[in-house]
Amino acid sequence: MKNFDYIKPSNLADAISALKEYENAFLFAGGTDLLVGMKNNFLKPQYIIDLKGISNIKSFEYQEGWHFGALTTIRDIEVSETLQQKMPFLCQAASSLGSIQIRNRATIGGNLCNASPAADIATMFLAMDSQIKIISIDNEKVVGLDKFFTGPNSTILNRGEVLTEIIVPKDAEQFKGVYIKFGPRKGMDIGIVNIAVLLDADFESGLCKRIRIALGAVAPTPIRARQAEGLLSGNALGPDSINKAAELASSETDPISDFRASAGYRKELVKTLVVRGINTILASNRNS
Amino acid sequence: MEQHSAVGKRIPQRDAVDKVKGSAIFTNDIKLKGMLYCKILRSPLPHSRIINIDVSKAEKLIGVKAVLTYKDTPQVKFSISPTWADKLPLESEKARYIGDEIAAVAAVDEDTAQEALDLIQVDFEELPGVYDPVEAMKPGAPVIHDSVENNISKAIHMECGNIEEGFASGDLILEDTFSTQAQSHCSLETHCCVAICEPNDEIKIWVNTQAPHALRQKLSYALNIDASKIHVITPYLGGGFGSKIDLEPAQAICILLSKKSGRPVRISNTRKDQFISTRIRHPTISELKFGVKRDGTIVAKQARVVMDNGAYNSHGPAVLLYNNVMFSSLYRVENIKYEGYLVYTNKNWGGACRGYGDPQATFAQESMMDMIAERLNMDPIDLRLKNANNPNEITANKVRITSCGLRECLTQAKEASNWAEKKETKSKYRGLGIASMIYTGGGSIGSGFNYSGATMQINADGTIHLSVGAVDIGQGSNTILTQMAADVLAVDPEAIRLTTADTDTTLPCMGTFGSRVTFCAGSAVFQATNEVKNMLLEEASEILEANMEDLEMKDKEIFVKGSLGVSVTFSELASRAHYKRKKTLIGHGYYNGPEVSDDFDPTSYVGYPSPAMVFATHIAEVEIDPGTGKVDVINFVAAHDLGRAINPLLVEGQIEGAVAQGIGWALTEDLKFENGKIVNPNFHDYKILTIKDVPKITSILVETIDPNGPFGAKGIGECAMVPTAPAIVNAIYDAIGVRIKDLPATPEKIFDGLKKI
Repeated sequence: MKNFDYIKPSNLADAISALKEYENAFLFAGGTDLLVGMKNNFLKPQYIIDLKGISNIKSFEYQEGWHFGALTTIRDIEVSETLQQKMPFLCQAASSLGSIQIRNRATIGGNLCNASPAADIATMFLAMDSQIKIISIDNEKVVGLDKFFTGPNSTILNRGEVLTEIIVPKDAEQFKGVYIKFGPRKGMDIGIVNIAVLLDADFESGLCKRIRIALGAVAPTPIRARQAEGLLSGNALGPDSINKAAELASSETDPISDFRASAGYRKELVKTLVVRGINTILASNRNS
Repeated sequence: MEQHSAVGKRIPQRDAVDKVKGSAIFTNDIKLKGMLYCKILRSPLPHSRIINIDVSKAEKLIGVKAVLTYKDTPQVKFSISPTWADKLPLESEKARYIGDEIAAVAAVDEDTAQEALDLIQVDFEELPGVYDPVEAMKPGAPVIHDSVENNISKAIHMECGNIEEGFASGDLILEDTFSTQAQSHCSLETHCCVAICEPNDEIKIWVNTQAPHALRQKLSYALNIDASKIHVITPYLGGGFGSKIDLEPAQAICILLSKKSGRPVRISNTRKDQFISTRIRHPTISELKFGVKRDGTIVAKQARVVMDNGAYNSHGPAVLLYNNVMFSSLYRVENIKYEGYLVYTNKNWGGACRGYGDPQATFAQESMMDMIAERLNMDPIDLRLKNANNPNEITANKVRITSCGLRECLTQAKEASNWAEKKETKSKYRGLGIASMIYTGGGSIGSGFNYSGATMQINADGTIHLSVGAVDIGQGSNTILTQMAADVLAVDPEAIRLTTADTDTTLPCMGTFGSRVTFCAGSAVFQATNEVKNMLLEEASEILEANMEDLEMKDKEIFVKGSLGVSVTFSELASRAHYKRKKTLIGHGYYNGPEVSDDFDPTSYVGYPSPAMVFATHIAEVEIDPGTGKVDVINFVAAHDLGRAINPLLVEGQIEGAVAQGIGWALTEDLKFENGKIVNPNFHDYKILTIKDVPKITSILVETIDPNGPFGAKGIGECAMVPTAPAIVNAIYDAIGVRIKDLPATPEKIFDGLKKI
């Protein structure tokens, strides 16, 4: 590991000015991606700005929508009884990431800024129509998460900008949802395909009011399958329509072939998992 | 049944508490005053000529104390034996794989050493590489080692019976090709050593090796240093699986850097180093041809195997030999032909890896057995029973079998898995698969030796001290060896002090591999302890004025049978011997067997002098997700003939661990190469099973009581992963009719297979 200087500001303003001041400075939240990158010598920061001294971005609250501080840990989301009640699908996605040890360290801000196409929590937040707050020394803006990612490990963040908050609109609670991560292992895995499905439906009649489908690891960034969503929204959910939506969702992806899986197989998996995701929601809500 | 005080008891490992508390000292924990840290510069190219190495800038970096290239080494090539020597600690002329050792630095800390590596300028001339062993065998392929024609390091041609007549006598002939992938051992503790070279050239090295005494010989050879000047010490060791048997280039480098710098030097692999520079399981391609009669009798079998050696030999030639022996010995078949080629490629080199060529042979053979059973419309268990080996037989390829519980393994596994009922009521996407195996249960004397030594002494104060050369690599040999000794002396195993794995203080032991420690070191312990027991009884019989036969031992005391009041303690006896008779109570045990019979002919590859063979049957139950192709192993039964379980708890630990490793090899573990480069050298992408992935494993211990093993015991360490993969692959076929012939059975392969049905 290369040598670096370590800075630990106690408030956001100091963090932002440090980020502006120092070249080749990296923000350090949970460190579960940053430290791995540094130990493997592909990230070589000169400065590390540790955000953990900033106390007001570590938790979440409801205030006309859910506001999650960027330093909220994945584990905090996973085990929150309130969230398990209001948005269990978010807790489910959180529980799919790494191991408990990693989830205790990893933060949602870090997970989003690392911008892995296979990030579990990013895929779910994308399905939830989330927005993010970005602060710089002279500006503060709120952007849709769907505009945030620009490619593998790259985002719209410019030098001097910090993602401070994830905002989930209040209607997210109206949805039933599911998160499915498909990988060869049951734990500690990177998904070959990840899928988040949120469904607002009349479960008696099978009418789909609104549906949101987000897919991970099948494009340079996590994506929404908007055509498939459009096909189903306002229509009846039956085997035919679900299958057609799954085909459409698959066609909206742009996966790569690598040693983990071929592009063709990932596209097939999308079909299976879209159907499975919707049917899982239908089955569990018809029963209840 | 004879009574045992310690043997057969479920005793937790004697070092379990130390390990759980973190107080056990491993090689990686050793830090010495003034110690330097070493990093190794590795070839970034798969195949190249080394034109020039300039270390001048690295030498000038503050904190760097020594830089090493081949010029600082004796340039003696090494391998498992001088016959196969092909590797230098630091390469001089060519680099033959990505990761080949070129130079090394010792500095005050690891970061400085790493920084110095970046300052070493190496001029390479890139050469064309070859990565596929079949391509490498073709005329005109790049030459990896100058004198080796067609890159074939070793070829084996073995034939017994008459293969043509054998096939002609069959009713049915089946042919198919099976291939297996590279597997990484993934020991918990990475390779590490700390060396000090004293001013008088005496060397002390703490190293996590499976074979300290053998390592001393290999270091002596490769460094041209008298073995008497080398002291090898192995502290607690965190897993080997075969990866820590060999001399590692890093160990030689560490000593030479210590010599050059005059300071202690430490090398410890990162996990990435571990993946990119230590040995792997050899990938193989096996073309099989089997001839069978309608009743299931196998009349002839033939294998042509191409084994991917990687860049250097290590254990490759012996692994190929084992592939032949184990393929040929399983089942009673008269006519056998084996043709095997060990082929160099520009990739990471293979080595010893749990099962030593047998998992590859068994995957092919046991897949084929399943295909035969289906063609004959025969139950796969019945087909195996029809051809099963028997006790006290010599196989067609002259392998001597003494105890043999293969039939018991088959029938008991069948019962435990509820085979008959589940086959009747089979549900869609669920399947059952079976596979059996043969392996050595006590190493082999084929290379001329199979030695393990032990001493047992009783001090004047009554301390019982056992000393063995064998290393406990986590499997629990320290526990079972003391159990055996305790049983002989009728004492609590915890009453026995133990010294192990130190070339200065223990008798030589060839090492912990070949599933040999229970058998070989156990035999030595048994002998040494019995010798001391007799000395004690002799002393006691004089004092108690009773015949030795009338004496009984318990809790470090000796009684006259039937008169409990009359006794003498071990310490009284030892004290008397020491001070009055000026005699120490020390017993020696040395095993080096078996005797080699006239059957053994190393040139024709017929015969294999192992002290005992072990057998096993695994049955896997799987469920397939047809939408993704993913396999869920939901149940697993492993029946093992191990002679006798000295400690059933530890045996089950060995079986469960091996099955987990076997399922990994079957389904998820695959060290992947692109143009000679490993693309998944980390635990994210090299997928060993997690605790969530391991199914319930039912172990069945078939105790055949081997006539030659200590207390009737045979080895268990390696064999329990041998039949796992074919059992799973056969279960997948049973579930969905997709036959996976190349491991691993990934979801994608199964999904593609389902589409083709």
